[in-house]
Amino acid sequence: MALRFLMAGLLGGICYLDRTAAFQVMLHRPLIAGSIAGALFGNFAAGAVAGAVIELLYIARLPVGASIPPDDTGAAIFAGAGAATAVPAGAPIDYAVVTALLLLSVLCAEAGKVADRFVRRINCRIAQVTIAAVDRGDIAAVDHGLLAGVTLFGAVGVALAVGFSGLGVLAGRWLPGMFTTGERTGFAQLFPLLPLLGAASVLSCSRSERSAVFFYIAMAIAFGVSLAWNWGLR
Amino acid sequence: MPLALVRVDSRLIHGQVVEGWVPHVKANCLLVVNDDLAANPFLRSVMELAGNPSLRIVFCTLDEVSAAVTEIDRRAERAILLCATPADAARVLARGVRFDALNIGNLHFGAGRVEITPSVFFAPEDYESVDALQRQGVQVEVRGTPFEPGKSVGGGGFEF
Amino acid sequence: MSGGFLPASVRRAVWRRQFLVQGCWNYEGMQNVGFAYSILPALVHLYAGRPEDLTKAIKRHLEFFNTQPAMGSVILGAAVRMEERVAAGEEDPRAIGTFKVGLMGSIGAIGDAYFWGALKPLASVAGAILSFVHPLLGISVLLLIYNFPHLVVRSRGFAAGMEGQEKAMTFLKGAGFKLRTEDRKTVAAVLGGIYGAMAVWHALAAGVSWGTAALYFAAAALLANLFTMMFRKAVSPSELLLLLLIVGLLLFPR
Repeated sequence: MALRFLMAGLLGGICYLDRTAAFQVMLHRPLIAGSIAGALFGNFAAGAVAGAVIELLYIARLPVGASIPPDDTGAAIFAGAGAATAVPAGAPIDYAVVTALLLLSVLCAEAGKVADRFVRRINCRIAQVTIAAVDRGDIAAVDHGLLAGVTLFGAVGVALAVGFSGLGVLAGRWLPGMFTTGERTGFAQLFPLLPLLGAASVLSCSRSERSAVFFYIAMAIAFGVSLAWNWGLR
Repeated sequence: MPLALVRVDSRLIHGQVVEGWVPHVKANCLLVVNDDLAANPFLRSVMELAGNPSLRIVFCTLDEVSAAVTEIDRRAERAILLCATPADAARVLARGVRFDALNIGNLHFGAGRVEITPSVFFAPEDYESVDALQRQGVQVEVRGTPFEPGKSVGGGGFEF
Repeated sequence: MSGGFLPASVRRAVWRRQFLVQGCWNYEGMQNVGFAYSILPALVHLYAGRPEDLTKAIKRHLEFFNTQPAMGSVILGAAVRMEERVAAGEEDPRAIGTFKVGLMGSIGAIGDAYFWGALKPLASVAGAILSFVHPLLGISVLLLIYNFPHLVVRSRGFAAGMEGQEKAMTFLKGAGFKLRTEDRKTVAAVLGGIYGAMAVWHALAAGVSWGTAALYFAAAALLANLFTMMFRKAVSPSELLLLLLIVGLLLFPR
């Protein structure tokens, strides 16, 4: 178990670095962070389901300027680790537990946002020190200042990844005993609302009438086709 | 009322405005009131790149602001008025363009500036301008994007 | 790239360093340390043997700076070009600050709209849908859809900036960001609709009648419309999810 948390810290830390400090090649997306957490705690597929739902929930919240969106990377690590703990590999997904995990992951998303603000505040101090050192003619201070910032982003990322995956594992152990499990009972009835929220998030990224029309037409066609396909099979 | 929002922002046009406020207040015009830009056609042409068919971008100097707002009114557009400092906002008001609320989005850090929010730093003259605006009945709110809660700036003296 | 004064190795070092432009993101200067870090190899080369000029040059890049990180490549390239001219005594150093400050907002707006507002949602929704076929397929598609344009802009934008302000403008105009942004948003909306249909499909028990299916679909479409309206009114997704959590705890206590 210790090795799993070590790996969660390492890989989660890389996802967190990608979020702001380095690269932005989308390794921080919930689908990826959730799948990694799932794989580390024993069920890649369950982690991916949790990640795929969180992927779109906050997509309309853009990281613009000093406005910091909720931490969907952390939410996905929590929910991915939890889902993998609650659902044995190869078993059907327990949607009641997964739904409860996804709803609880909001708390991680908001906590992660607070941590992000904290890092950016501390970085003010690093930037001040860097500027003062350059004033004295110390050119290497630029590299050092940047390294310090990246290290801080990375260290907080590792801590969050370990913390959220730990909470996820606890929740994944505790929740199955708390809820009616199964495909369509209890919390599982709320599950379809979550991808629907994600779909609405995507639609709300665009303001044009055209997009809204295309959205509902695509929804109707996709639903009709899958319905017809399924009846044809029976 | 042609002005959907009046905003102070050091960066004038940027993502918070175009992706945040424009859709939120359903604006179709950005009016940038800035004397420096009037003398810099290169920067104006770059800023115009941020517009699109449903978002017209207009520049004017402080002296032209009243005429510019009348023109926007005549075209029946909804505009966001952008200026770089609270002092400019006070000057816009003094030139007869009436507004009831002022949004302060970003005022960059500088030596001697006081932090109001993580992205808004006030210099002494900003306090004076905000005070003057409030005495004329303008509600002043510090708020980066529509997605975050605003911080209202108290009347009379300065309290938060 | 044009035959400037900088050797290719230095230009490559600057290009690589742009990926850390947000490494020390802070509220006061935002990407200031990151920008100075990125341009540093060029400055060290251009001002070799002139320590005071070098310090001044670094200082002007430690001023406030913030833009969309991928689009920042254009400004970085142009700033390197301007530093070449300043070092050769052909340009006033103050022009660099005016240029950066003037461009960062509008270039950031274009980048935020294209990368965060259109390309990221498109890659995300495509990845999320395909992850139900196989998670690895979804992940690969997400990374490919986003990173192909991302890396093209990082390298072409930087190269265009290095050719000077005019070429940078030509690049920004020619890349057709406006058109691409709208197209990507429309495609994302179409995929969003398909993803929404998958949610309704999931809610249906096997063997329901056409009438029930139609009822579920109508309810889902209305809900999607309601949620979209709420998001546009700046209701946060977290608030809606917490509300659902409370509803769940009240409806299904145990």
